[in-house]
Amino acid sequence: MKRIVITGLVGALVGMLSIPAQARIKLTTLPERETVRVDIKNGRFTLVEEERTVNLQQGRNQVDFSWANIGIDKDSIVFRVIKADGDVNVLNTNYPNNENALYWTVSAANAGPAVIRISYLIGNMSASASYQGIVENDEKSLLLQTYMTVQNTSGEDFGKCTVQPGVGKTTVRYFKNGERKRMLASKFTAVPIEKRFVFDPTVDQKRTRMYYRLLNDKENNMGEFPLPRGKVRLFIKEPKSDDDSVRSQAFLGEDWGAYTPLFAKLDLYVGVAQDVKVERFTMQPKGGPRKVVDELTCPRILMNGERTVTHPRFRHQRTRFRYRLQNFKTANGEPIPVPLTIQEHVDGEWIIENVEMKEILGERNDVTEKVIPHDKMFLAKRIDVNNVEFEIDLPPTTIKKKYDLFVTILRKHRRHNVEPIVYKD
Amino acid sequence: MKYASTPLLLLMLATAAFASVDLVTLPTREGTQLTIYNSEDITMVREHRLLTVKPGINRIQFSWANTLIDPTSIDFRILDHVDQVDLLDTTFPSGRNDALQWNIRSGMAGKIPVEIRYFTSGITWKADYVGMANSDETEMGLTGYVRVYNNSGELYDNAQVRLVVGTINLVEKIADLARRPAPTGEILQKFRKGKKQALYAEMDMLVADEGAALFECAADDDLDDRRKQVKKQGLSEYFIFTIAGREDIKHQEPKRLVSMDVADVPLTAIYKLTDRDGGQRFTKYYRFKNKKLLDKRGKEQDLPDMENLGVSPLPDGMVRLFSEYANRDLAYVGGTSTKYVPIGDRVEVSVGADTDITMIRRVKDQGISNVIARQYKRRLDDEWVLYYDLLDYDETFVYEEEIVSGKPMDVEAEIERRFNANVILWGSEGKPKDWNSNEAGAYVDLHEVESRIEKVDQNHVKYFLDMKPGRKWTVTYKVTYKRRKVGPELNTAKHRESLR
Repeated sequence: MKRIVITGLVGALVGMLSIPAQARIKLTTLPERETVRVDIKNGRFTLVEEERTVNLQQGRNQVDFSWANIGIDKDSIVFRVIKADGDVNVLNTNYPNNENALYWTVSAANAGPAVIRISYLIGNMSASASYQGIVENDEKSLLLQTYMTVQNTSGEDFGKCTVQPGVGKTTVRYFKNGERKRMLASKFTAVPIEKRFVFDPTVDQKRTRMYYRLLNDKENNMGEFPLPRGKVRLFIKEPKSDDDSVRSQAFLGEDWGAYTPLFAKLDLYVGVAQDVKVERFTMQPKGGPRKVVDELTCPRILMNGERTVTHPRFRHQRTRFRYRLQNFKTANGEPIPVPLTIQEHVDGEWIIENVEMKEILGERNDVTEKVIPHDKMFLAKRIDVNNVEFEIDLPPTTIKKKYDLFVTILRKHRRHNVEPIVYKD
Repeated sequence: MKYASTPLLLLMLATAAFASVDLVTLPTREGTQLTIYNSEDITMVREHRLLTVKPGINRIQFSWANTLIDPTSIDFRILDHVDQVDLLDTTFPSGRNDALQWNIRSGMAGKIPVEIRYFTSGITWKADYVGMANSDETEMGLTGYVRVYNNSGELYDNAQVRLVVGTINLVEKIADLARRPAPTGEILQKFRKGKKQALYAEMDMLVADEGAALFECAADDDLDDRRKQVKKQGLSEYFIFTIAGREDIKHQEPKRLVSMDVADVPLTAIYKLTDRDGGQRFTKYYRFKNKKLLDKRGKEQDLPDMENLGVSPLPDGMVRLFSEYANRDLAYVGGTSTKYVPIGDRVEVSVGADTDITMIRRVKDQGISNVIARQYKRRLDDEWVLYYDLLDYDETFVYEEEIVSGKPMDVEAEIERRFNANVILWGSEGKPKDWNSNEAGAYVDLHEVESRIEKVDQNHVKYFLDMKPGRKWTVTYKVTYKRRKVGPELNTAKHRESLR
């Protein structure tokens, strides 16, 4: 008996309802739901809107609404007249004691059918997003499909209804209590992909990760709505082979897609790029040991106004990293360059003091090193005060040809020892 | 009174709604393809089936009791007549996590090919290798195997098997997703047990329709005595190994296949000693390149993919190494696991500790010089006591390393040493400018060593020896640790007063 029942009583019922002016029974009709819309956009409440046609008599009418085994927020029920011949007014709303029901007293100027819409909030329905990306074989673009999975544990069996789970809108023929439905909510075709190879020593000291970056804007064939959080599963189209009449797709990887507002980027970690190798070493800053720290010398003004010099407990600190870069990536059997991003996490006041790229040729005792210009292949990007990214166009390497990237970061005004000096008399 | 007419209405509604519904059960598989990943417990299964539909709404049931299939991954694709047949939605029935229904609207009657794709767990694969080196360790025969394990509870017969080399990102384990109960509470739990078996049986009992196989099937593979070919293909950051023909992948019956068999791989042996693992013994490594084999004139040989290197990356796996003597006796050299090796990169396989090359390291001399002390007084109860800090001093050690090779052939050795301070190196590139600096650090003087000296990082230094048999190598080097303490105002633990 999990039902929502609406009864349009033309006139009034004896006994239950005591409206003396219209104390006669005429005809009871049971209007059917004509359209039902289930809106699950809000995380806590689901809005149900249903339209029904009731036959109204001239004068006062009573429209009954009752439910069982379903959590309807009584105060949320809204009654609206959408279409009627002449003026129709809701005079009052009555809540019978101890019943999951209410009735409206409605006055109609003329007798005839009226389309009414009842809206109310129910609980226990939820919607979640998931995505499927079909990546083109060249990894330049993808087809991104948003699926919404809607779960109905509200207690109500819906018949034909339109489900709006936040993204998209689907009309389903039935939606029973306990069921889940998965539906295609949107489809973005030819969304450009930026493929990134990212080395972040705080995440993985040994391996480079491959990310896809998508932009949620019109220019990139998306930008219709903020993308809700959900799991993104990526598949790639394989080259068409003779022994398969339908083009195969292989699973590439999955990641949680964060909530992505319009114009924002969506980064998806797809898998490990094992052909791009980065090793990171901490080196002595160039110019010898004294270059690790710069001691500051500042004028000091004493209480008596005398000027002296002090070395405050702030120092500049240099860190020099060596990144051994190797790229064995091939496409169709040919070595190819890759765009590599190295992430470093710094804090406070800092600058990139020095960058040097070396080409290392040969092995063991026959190694020759050559400093090569890095302007065209290296870019340091300040993301914010805590993050810096080095973007490198890394040419192919072999066992006997590697690259060493040296980066010196000068972190300024580091506080070495924060406890105060206690001066005694 | 109020509810009396409700069930009737329901019934009427239901009758009206389902009048045009045909319940279609899935016919048997036309073709199956397994794509097995080795980095995670995940296998992608593609099934092709021919579905008979009628005009109007068709309801298709799919169920998967007692398997490890992830219900969220099941995907349905209509492969032909796409303009006339449309998937409306996917419905998971109440209280069940092992069945679903697809609602399809069809504008035609007849057969349509469909693809059902899903992830399952329980099927994995591993690579392993057997290397057989010749007696002077210059060449090696390398055989690679792949072994497929099926613990999924499902038999995949006559399936095309593909293996993916690479590390994908998975945010949830497929086995967990497969075992996760349906998200409803008590609702219709009782309905579960009785019907699922029947539904499952119904699904598979239906007789297959005739029609062309969608995955091409090599005829009677089992009758073919030749070794199975493995096709290797790159895809994004991964490689796919496709095993030719069809295989039956049975539950709990591992299957091992040869993925490559390469003869005469050029091999070098290298001996390494490093302070990172104690610095006492040399460890032997075999090195070979994952590159196409060259002939005697240095040109790439024209070999089948199965018998060549450099065609695909080598997946990580266990390596067992043997060495073959001239009389064809075998000796077990060692076993180790190897990491993924990209095309063009070098494989370095640890063979284990090697006692034929010995190293004796002696501290020949040590001394302290350039001591600077600061004296100060400190109050102890009612008295002032004089103390001093050893502020700066230089500590020098002279090392002698005696390395002897007991090998009958030339060997290459690498020695890496660690110094516990920032290294200022006087090596093969000459004396550094800061050699006489007064700053703290380890001033390492290795310039007398007849080798290139490599500075690995701020604490590690490496040198290389090409050793001939029957010669003793003596390497002498010196390190001066310049110990410098920070000034007193940074050393707040001690209150000092000057001796005025």
